Amino acid sequence: MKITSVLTLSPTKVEAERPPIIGIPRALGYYEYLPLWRAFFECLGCSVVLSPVTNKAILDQGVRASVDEACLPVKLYYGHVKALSGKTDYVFVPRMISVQSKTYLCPKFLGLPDMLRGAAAFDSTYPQMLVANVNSRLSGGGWDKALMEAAEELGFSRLRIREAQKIAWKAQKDFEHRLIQGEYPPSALAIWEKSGRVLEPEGVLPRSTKRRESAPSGGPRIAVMGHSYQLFDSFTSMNLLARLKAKGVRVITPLATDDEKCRQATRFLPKRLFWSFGQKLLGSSLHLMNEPLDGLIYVAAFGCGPDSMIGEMVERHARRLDQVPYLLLTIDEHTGEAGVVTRIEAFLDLITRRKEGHLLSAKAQLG
Amino acid sequence: MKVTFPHMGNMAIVVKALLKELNIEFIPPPPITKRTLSLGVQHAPESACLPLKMNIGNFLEAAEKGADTVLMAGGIGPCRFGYYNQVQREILNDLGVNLNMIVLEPPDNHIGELLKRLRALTGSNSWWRLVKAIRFAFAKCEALDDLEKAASRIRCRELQRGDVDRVYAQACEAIDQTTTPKEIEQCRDEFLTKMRSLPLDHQKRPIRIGIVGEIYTLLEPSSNGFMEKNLGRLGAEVSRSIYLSEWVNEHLLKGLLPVKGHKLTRKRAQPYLSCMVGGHGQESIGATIEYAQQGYDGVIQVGPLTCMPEIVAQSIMPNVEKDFHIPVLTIYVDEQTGEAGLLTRLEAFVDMLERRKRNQVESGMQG
Repeated sequence: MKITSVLTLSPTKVEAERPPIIGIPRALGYYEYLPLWRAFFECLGCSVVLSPVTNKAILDQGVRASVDEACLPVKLYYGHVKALSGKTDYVFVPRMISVQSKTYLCPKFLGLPDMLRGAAAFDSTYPQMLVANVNSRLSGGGWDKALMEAAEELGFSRLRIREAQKIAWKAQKDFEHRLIQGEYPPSALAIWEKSGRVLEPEGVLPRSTKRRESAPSGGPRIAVMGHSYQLFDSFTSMNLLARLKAKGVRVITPLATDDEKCRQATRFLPKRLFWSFGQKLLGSSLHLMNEPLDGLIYVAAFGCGPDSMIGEMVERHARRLDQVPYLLLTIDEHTGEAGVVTRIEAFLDLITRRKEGHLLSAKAQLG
Repeated sequence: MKVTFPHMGNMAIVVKALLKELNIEFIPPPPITKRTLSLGVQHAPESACLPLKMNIGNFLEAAEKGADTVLMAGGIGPCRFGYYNQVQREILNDLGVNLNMIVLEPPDNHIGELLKRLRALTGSNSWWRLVKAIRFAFAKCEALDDLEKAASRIRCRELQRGDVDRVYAQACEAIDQTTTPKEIEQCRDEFLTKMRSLPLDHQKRPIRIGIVGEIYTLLEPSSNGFMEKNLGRLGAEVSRSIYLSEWVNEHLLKGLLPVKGHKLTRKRAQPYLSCMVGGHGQESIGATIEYAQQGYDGVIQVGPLTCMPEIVAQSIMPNVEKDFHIPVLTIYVDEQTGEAGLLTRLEAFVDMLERRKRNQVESGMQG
């Protein structure tokens, strides 16, 4: 029997006249690595197309194309890839095995390109995919090698690729710097959501002098934890962040804690966590818990393996400290907006009452 | 030190043999019952996978009987099994149950870590004695696997329902009692003969079903609703992709012993799933291909609900089904799974396979 492999790419054709159009699905790694990808491909002269912001149609497409048991973010990824069909020459689908040494991402990230190709074998409307392995576990692996592989497949020269990588890293570092500075992640990402940023005269380096969004000062300080693709996709998070902000909450996200602080906060655990996104979530939750904080909301995707373990760890530590109220929101495609809103309101009420209670008891002690 | 360990199929007999050889006191957890599972469900995170819940149940029941140390396997990702011991430690800690954990897993930095952990277990025993004990325990493991394989093969042929299971239970009991390598061999041969001399229907040409999937749900009959027994009684010859000795050799002993491994199986999966995804995702795909090539009539994939590697495998399964013309049924189990519901699904699958086989034979005759 002849084995027809779903992994065999049909021969790539780079048309000499026109550099290819690269599609980037607005899901999963997008929220952490968009500046790197966009700057890289644009520096090579490719045009970059993003899939539309998550909407009902994309969700439906994704749910139909994937297996029931997959988590919502993975289902959405299917939808986003499909939404790019016909608009691009290639969709960039990096296989993110590991983005930090000695760690992994979740198995679904590892199998994602294969899963998509599997689906594409039954459905001819899927766009052509550009796959590259990101594996920092191997020496010399990581993003540099992955981008090199991807661009070489498109037929670019090594010299040109290295140049593009340099600029792309500058963009990514700038983005990460802004996040650590406490800039609201969606607005830090927003400047990369339109094309041509790398061509702007000031380049990619200068820090934004724009006045930072004036955070409400008196409101409760709440840490919202969760994978970035879960939190910042306003469709799947039921617009949670904006909702909290509208209520005057000062929101802190895991991206604002740097890796070193995360490492310090988890040092006391006998076992190191081997998921890199997970390490960030656990580390920053434990770190923030020791700071003045009014509440912690953990947004988990239903069926997410790392979330089931990390959410539990965070909850247990929060309960032991007995200082920070904890809310776990588990979200899947059936989650209703009204239900989420009710829970958030109840949680905020609890925080307010708790604060008042503290004030009263303090007064009583004084009096 | 009173050592206990989690149940997983016939693992208890093997670990008991090991600890007895090393003169270590042990308390095996009581057999898995409904109470075990409800204890686990009560204390484990809701969305964690089934094995974690069952382990917690085992530990709590063993602690009631006086155990103070747990011996279990670990891992370094990306499957969440590797992080079990940390979460379990936290849960037991909050419950006030004092259990010391000895985790057998690849060391993080230095081989010394593993040796130190082993030393904590073996105490004053010499390394040579440990090697001898491991070899003895492994011999038991292999003998048990042989018996289990034989039982799964001939169960569908028994004329008196329950005969095979009765002899198999006796065999396990007898293997447990053996004290020398020679006895193990004699015992195995004796019971294999006994099984074959049961009243059997030797004319029967049953359908053959391969079971693939996640290790725990494959090995532990109480977690998969006694699938092998039920399939046998429905008239199907059953084989499994992974047996205990293979898992012990690959996962715990890192392939030191000359036993058939799954390297080739993983290689077969390459065209469909080119990347390791943790757990047994690649093995599930590869083993399905192997079963198809060996002329099996169908494959059942089992896993705990939300198992990440199996979700990846499940997403790719349709391609294997199509290319190799083999029907695959995917079954996820969790604490809500009832045996009756499962039985109905198995019945329907077996019926379908029998009809399919009949049709093939008939059309073969005409052609």
